[in-house]
Parts: sequence; C-alpha cells; structure tokens
Amino acid sequence: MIVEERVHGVRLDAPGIATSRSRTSAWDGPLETVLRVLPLVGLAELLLMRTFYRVGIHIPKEEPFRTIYAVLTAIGSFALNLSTILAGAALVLLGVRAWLRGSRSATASILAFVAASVVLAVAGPSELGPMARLVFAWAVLVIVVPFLVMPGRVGERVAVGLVAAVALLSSYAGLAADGAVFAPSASPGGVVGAQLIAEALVIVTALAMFVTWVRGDGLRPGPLLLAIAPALALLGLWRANGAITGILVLWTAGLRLYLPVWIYAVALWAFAATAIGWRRRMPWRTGGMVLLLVAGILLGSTYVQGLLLIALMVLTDGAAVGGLPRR
Amino acid sequence: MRGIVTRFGSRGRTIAVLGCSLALAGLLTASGGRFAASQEAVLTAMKADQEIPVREPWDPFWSRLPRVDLPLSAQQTLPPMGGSRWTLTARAVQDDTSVYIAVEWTDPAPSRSVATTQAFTDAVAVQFPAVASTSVPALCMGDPTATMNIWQWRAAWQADVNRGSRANADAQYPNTDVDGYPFADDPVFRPGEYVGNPFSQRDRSSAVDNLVASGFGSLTADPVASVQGWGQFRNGRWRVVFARPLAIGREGNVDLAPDDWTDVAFAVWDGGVGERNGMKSVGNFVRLNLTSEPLTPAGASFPFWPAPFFAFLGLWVAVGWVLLAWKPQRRPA
Repeated sequence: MIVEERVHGVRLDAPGIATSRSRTSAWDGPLETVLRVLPLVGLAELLLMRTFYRVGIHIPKEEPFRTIYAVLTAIGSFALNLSTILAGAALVLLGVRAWLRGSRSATASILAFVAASVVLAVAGPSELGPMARLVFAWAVLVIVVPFLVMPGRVGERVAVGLVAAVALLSSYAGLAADGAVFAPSASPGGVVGAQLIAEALVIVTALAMFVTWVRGDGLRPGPLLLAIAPALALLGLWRANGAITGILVLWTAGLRLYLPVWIYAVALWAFAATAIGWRRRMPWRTGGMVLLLVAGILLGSTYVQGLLLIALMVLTDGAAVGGLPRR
Repeated sequence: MRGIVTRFGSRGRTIAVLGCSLALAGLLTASGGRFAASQEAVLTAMKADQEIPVREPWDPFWSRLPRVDLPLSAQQTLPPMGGSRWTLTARAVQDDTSVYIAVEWTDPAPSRSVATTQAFTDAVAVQFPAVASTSVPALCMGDPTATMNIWQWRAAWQADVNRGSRANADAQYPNTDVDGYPFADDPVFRPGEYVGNPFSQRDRSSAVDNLVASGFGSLTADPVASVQGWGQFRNGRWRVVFARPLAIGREGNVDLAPDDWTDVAFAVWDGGVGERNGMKSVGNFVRLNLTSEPLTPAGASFPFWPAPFFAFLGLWVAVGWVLLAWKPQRRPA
C-alpha cells in the first residue's frame, strides 16, 4: 500500500512543516481509516444518542414505536462507545505520528490529554476535572500555533484561530466553574460571558470557513444549494416548536441560540456549504468539520474535547503532527 | 515483539485497530460502561465560623462565597412548558449545623402577588435527591425509586412573611365593599386553608415550601417548615438565601453532613410573564460539596476576576514565542 503525505491540503511543498514521503509509517493506514470512520460514527452518536434519545418522552409508548426507539437508542449507545474508542485511537495514532516526525511537543500534549482522559474515566471526574481541561487547553495551543504562525493562507488561519478561541473560551468557562475545587474562595466569574462570546464566535467561524472555501474553490452552486436544506430545517423546526428546538440545540451542540435564529440559520448554511464544498478536493476537512459539529462548544466531557483536538489537527492539515496520511 | 509488529502490514493493523475498537465498544455497551468522563460544575459550601446573615441576602458576606454560574433553559419535558431566564448564580456555605444556599438571577421586575387568578409570583427552587451521595435521579422531580426534596421560595410568600398576608379582596381591590361574612373563621368557608393548601395559608413562618416528589404529579408539601428563606429584589436582581439544618431526619428530606456531597439542581419562575408550575427555567444537576475547609477571611477572595483571561493570553504568547523561535526540521526527500 502506497502512503503519501497530505500536508497543507494540495500544497505538499508548503513551508513550516516537516514533510517526508519516505518516512511513512505502517500506522498511517489505520490512522487514515480511523479518521475516515470517526466522523460518521460520531454523527450517528450525535443523532441517535444525544438527539433522538432525548426526545423519548414524545415517542408513543406502544408497539412498534417502543421497539424502534429501543433499537435506535441501543445503536446510538454503541455508536457513542465506538466513537469514544475511535477518538482515543485516533489521538494515540496522531501522537505516534507526531513522535515519528519529531514533533515532541505535539506528542507530549496529545498523549498527556489521552492519559488524563483515561485517568478521569477510571477514577471519576471530581477533583481531576480541571487537570484534563488544562491539558486540553495546552494541546489546543500546541496543535494550532504552528499553523497560525505559517505564512500565507490567511483565511484558513483565521478560521482555525477562531475555532481555537472558542475552545479556549469554553475551557475557561469550565475552569472557572472548576476553580472551586482548587481554590474555593477564588470566584473568577465570567463563565456566562465566556460562553456567550464563544457562541458568537461560532457564527463568525462558520462565515470565515465559508469565505476560505469560496476563495479557494470559487462559488459552486451544488454545495450552496444542498446546504440550504439543514438551514431551512433549523428555521422550520424553530417555527414549529422553538422551545424544543432550542433545548435540543443546547443539549447537542451547546448553543443557547441567544441571537436571532436567522443568524444561526445563515451560519449553518455557510458551515454546511463549506463542509460539502471541501468534500471533493479536501475531504479530510469535511470530516474535521463534522467532528466540530459533533464536539459542540460546551466541551463538557473528555470525549468531545478529544473530538475537537482531532478536528483541529485535521483542519490544520496536521501541521503540528507532520501532516496527515493519505492513501 | 518487533517481529510480530512488522509481520502485520498496514492493512492488518487497520483491521486490528477497527476490530479491537468494535469489540471494546460492544463490551462497554453490554456492560453499560462509558470510556469518557463528564466534567460537571461544582458548588462548594465551605465552613463559616461567623454568624451567617441569613436575613440579609445582599450582605457583602454572600458576595465573597465561591460562586457557580449555571446556564438555565426552558423546561420542555412536560406541559405546560416554558421558561425565560438564562442564568442563575449559586453560592453555598455551612457552619457545621446548617447549610445555606444563596441564589441570584436577573428579573426585569419583581412579581410578588398571587392574590388574583391572573397574578403569578417570582420563585426559585432548589432540588436534591432525598438520599444524599447517590447517583443522579431524573431531573424532573425524580422517579418512584428516587425521591427528590425540593425547597421552593416564592416572592409572594416572602411578602406575606414580611408584611402579613394580603391575599384578600380588601387588599387587592381597596375600593371594593363587602357586606360581611358571618362565619369568617369557620373552616367550612375556608376549605383550602382547612385541608392545608399552601396557597391558602395566611400565617406563614417561612417563605419556603419544603416539598417532596417521586416523579411527575407527585409533588407533596411537607407540613414541617424546616427550611427558611429570605429574598430581596435589588437593581433588577433577586437574591434568595435558603437555610436548613444539615440533617432533620424526616423521610423525603435530604440529610447532609460536613465533608459530604450531593447533587443539586435549580429552577426559576418569572411570574411577570406568567410562569408557574411547569413553565420554568431549569438547570442541570451540579455537585454540591460540603467541606470543613474554613471560609477565607474577608478581603482574601480572588482580587481581579479577569486574571485567568490574561493568564490564558500569556500562555498563548509564551507558546507562540517558543514556536516562533523553533525551526522546523526539513527531512530529505
């Protein structure tokens, strides 16, 4: 099997990243497969476990609805577990890849996050929660900064920087709430403010990604038209039952929808158009955007934090880990 | 080992990774386990050695307690649905005998009356699993196997406590004229009060109803007023303090102890927009830690709250500087 490097999308000679076609690893194949499968499994988990499972009270309590509901939520539960494990596997493989490419800081931060996640999963959250958040914030910086300091590609750097800003603001909100564990008298506050700013930045991020895609590929009608569907679905659901739609969006994506809903619809259209548009030329970025969607912005568990780290590595074309594998 | 690893090609490793992932996911699903940890908010009740100003919700004492800002959302599980408040700030403290919980939220205007059928009161509720230190039960008033203890403070009850009940026609409609009731105090003509309906009480000792529930439609008032509460509206914000002995030994009531923990959830009603019953803003469960660690003396609280923002900014700059100084190694093709 021939494996070649996919660094910087179509620009294999882009500066700033250690690239090598000769230093392929036998673990590139598994990594590439996991990165392809993970967005699909994560999306299944998002739809079946975090969305469908939560509307169970509105499902009729007689057959065959009960059986269908039980089967679909069981699949969703399995998808959640599979997605969690695949996310862990992807992080370990990316960490190994970074090690083989000489990026020790990326390896250290990624594997430290995996270790913190395993410790938390085994020992329970409680006092260890802030540790994982801090390691997560560190990993975000280590993954993103090499991409941000590269020359050129302003649009992509702005978009990735915004994603990182959202992640850090959300982490701040979590850390400020966790602060009571380490220093109960320290009440830094600003939790809600950080969350609201992060949510506003989500809108800007979607538009920045859209601009980046259009500048690279031009306006293609296919993705623009296809992306209307989810945006219209959001508006339709909001109009049909704004309260239930709002709480589902809060529980699944972490968005409060405190801005006028048409803004979110426009952002969703731009986000979906970009994801669909990138699929032809840079499909890994489509996967990264799906992972962003699945991760949401509340980042309330190590699972979604891990997804966001993977999404960042994919959207930066693996800048911190020596590129991404491609068959 | 190296021989075994190299014997498998990339395809073999891919199959191995996916196979192991599927098997592990199946094992976790069958066992009900999860390989991810949530990171919930924690509300810490430290030990205070001073007298707690329970009747003064806006005393500076409360502002220097550890606080947690909790997002709320509209209750959408059962009709009547609704809820319009976004955020609630919670604080807690204990003094080895009682636990005190202070909550604060914004409200455009106070609503303190239930004297007419179209008037609804502002309110806030704190909810605990009746048995502390157990797993989290259903958020919506528990279930038949997990009883919940709910403390509900109402602005209308607070007004009754402060100035006496005015839920009568004379107070509500000052210009009305009533000929007279011949048996004004006969329980026959006061059925609500006679059967113990909390809404019909005229003499209140507490602004808080102590309630017990085991699922939807099972909410019951505990006749023993073990929970006290005081609330004041100031500058567009309500602040309410709940106070109760740590343990009271009554079925359905949560019993706590120093160095104990339980789960706690909050709900807010805005009477001004007609919120009542299930029309409320609810927050998810957070963890309430009671600790024997003494409360830091006044003035020793966090000096400058945006400092963590600047710490993050410093981290950004430091890492950026390190990476700017770092020269990437370009390997020969």
